[in-house]
Amino acid sequence: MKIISTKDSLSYGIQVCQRVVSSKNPLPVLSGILLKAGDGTLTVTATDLEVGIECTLPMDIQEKGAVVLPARILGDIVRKLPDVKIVMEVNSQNFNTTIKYGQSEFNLLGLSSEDFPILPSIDFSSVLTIKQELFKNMIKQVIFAASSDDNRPIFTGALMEIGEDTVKLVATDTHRLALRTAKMENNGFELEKSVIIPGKTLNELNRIMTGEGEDVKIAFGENQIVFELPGTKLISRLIEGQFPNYKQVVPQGCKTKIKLKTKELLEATERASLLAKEGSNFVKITITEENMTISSNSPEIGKIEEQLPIEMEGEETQIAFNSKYLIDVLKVIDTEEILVELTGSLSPGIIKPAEGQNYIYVILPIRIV
Amino acid sequence: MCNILLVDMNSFYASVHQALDPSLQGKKVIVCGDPEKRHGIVLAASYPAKKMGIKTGMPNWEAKLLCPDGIYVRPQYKHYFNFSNRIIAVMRDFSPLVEPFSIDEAFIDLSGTEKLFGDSVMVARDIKKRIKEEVGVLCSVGVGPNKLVAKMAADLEKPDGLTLITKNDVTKRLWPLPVKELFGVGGRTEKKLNLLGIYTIKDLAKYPLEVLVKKFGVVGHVLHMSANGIDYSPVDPHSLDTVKSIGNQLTLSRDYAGDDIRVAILDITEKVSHRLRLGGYVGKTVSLTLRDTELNSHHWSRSFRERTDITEEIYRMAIKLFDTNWPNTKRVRLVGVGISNIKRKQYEQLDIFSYKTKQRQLNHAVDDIRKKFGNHSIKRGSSITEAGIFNEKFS
Repeated sequence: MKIISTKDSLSYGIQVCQRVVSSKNPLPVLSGILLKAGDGTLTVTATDLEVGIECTLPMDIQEKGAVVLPARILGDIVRKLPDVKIVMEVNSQNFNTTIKYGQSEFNLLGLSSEDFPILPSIDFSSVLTIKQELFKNMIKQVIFAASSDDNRPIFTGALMEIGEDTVKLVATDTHRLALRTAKMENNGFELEKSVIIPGKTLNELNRIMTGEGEDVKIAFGENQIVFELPGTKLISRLIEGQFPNYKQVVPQGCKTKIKLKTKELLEATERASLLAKEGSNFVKITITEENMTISSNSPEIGKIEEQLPIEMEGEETQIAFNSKYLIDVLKVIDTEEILVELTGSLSPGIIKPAEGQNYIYVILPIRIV
Repeated sequence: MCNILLVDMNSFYASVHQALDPSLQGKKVIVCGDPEKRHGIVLAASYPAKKMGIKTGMPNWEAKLLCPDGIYVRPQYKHYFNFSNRIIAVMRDFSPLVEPFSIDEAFIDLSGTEKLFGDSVMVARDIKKRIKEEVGVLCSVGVGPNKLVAKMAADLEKPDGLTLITKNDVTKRLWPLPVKELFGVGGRTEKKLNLLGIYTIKDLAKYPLEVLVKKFGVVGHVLHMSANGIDYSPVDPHSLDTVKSIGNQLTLSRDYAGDDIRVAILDITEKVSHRLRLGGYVGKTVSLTLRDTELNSHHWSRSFRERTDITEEIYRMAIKLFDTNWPNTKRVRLVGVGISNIKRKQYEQLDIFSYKTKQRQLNHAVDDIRKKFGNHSIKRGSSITEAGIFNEKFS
């Protein structure tokens, strides 16, 4: 195998793939990246058997072939190469690889590509097409609410529900739930389908999507999902199991309804959370006709109290929330104002943008004992 | 400036039985666990029994061989606590700075009381006299410039001793002792120190500090200071006010294997989390101790992200430790579960699907039933199988 590349082209392909490589994989071949030179293209592939990324780059191919190179060191080398013509040549007998740049060269021991797993091929007859920009926004508004606790795997992913004219993304760690709906008329998809996509997959996808007017195409296999971007394909295992009925837990109606500035609540909550000690990171919220009071008290350090102007309907009330859960959502809502809907101090609250119907965040309060 | 005393009860459990029943005075009294169970070991022995070679921690059967005519009694913790409290009360008459160190030891700081009660050795005599007359047990008292030296002084003369070690006496009295006699040096540390050529406290005191720190970290510094008789820790009368951890361990009536071990872990977890909730605490770190049939103990721990007091969550963590660390076929002799990093429960995060809320309600309902009808009144299905370890008693 022999290819001629620019630094940027090679570096891009490796960077896209490198992140999914697991550093502690027991199979040596999986700590590597597969480079495959075909007809005018170089395909770069990496997988940890849960997620796989395949990136196809147009390339000057002198001789076809394939090799597996150690991911971390390859990534480091390529990133540090000077911006000159790069020639990579692989000995087809022992897979020793030479990377030539200018008058210099770097030698790397490679492995045979034969042992590298083949990513499953997925039937693209039924494809869901979404604008990358929209899908990126959906992921951003939802995925932070997923759990990182491996004890209950279904909560470490996001539920994607494809309906007749909507696509919904839902994530919850059982303390809060984020639900993003996108209207999708003529999405090209014929089936109603619901799957749980691992959080890691969505984070990786979010990283490689450019969001510049391009589409992402989504197709489904037996227990897999594939995302296709121009030049790049990401395949992931799905999480098996039954996602709980989230519709049931979204409160219908409320006793207190408030409208206020997103940024003001975010900044006040961030200040109040500075006092939150390890283990009791909650803020108290008191709502009266005139305003909202946010307070936090840490007997050994001090206390803070802030007042924010609000528009309010319904009963005066008090409630306590984990400050992180509030801050997380206020950071991803992009409208200037939000609505907060509460029903007493022990029932779930709702936070949503003041305009539009496409986002709901359910947050469970803290009971002070 | 020797103002710190350690008061150490001699053969405390045995002495309490003798105080309660004067006919036992001067007899070979041996306090031991249930002779029917395997975990019957000697908890305490009176001095005549000790003369026959009886040692604390010895299995019952061995004690019986050495001392067939001993008087074997079961422990009665209620009385020990009662006696312990009475002793602390006597000590508090001399200074408010009394720190209970264990059930049968307490420190007292006499600084500033010289004009009231005279020097520390006189107070030590008074304390010994009053404990003997008012409570009816003997104690050894160590007097020193700090807690460490006082503690080691008390160990030098038993029973009924009174030992003063001043700052200047440290080299003469403590340095010749084997290093394992130093407070804070256990079997493992002793072995490591021996490898460095350190056999006596003097060896340790003279050993280069940098090497100790490199080898043991902060502990190396503490070892160096201890060996030189230096200790700055204050006598803290509130040291026992806050609970630091709750745990329980038990030697099984037979060696367990496979799923039976899970039942034992669940039973102990149930007991530990019950006590956790009773005290109004939540804990962060779960630890599991298993002892194999070769008597090697293994210990693992892991923390939650958020503190909890829910039995099922603590059990899930303990089982995770078990599954990741214990080979399937290996047998277990002793099981212990503990929860540490404990704090007063101040709040509960409610959850969307009410999983936790339901578990909490269930836990509390069971706690309430136990409170009203006794600890035996309600059990899990698995606990009444043959593997259940509190089949007869749940105390």
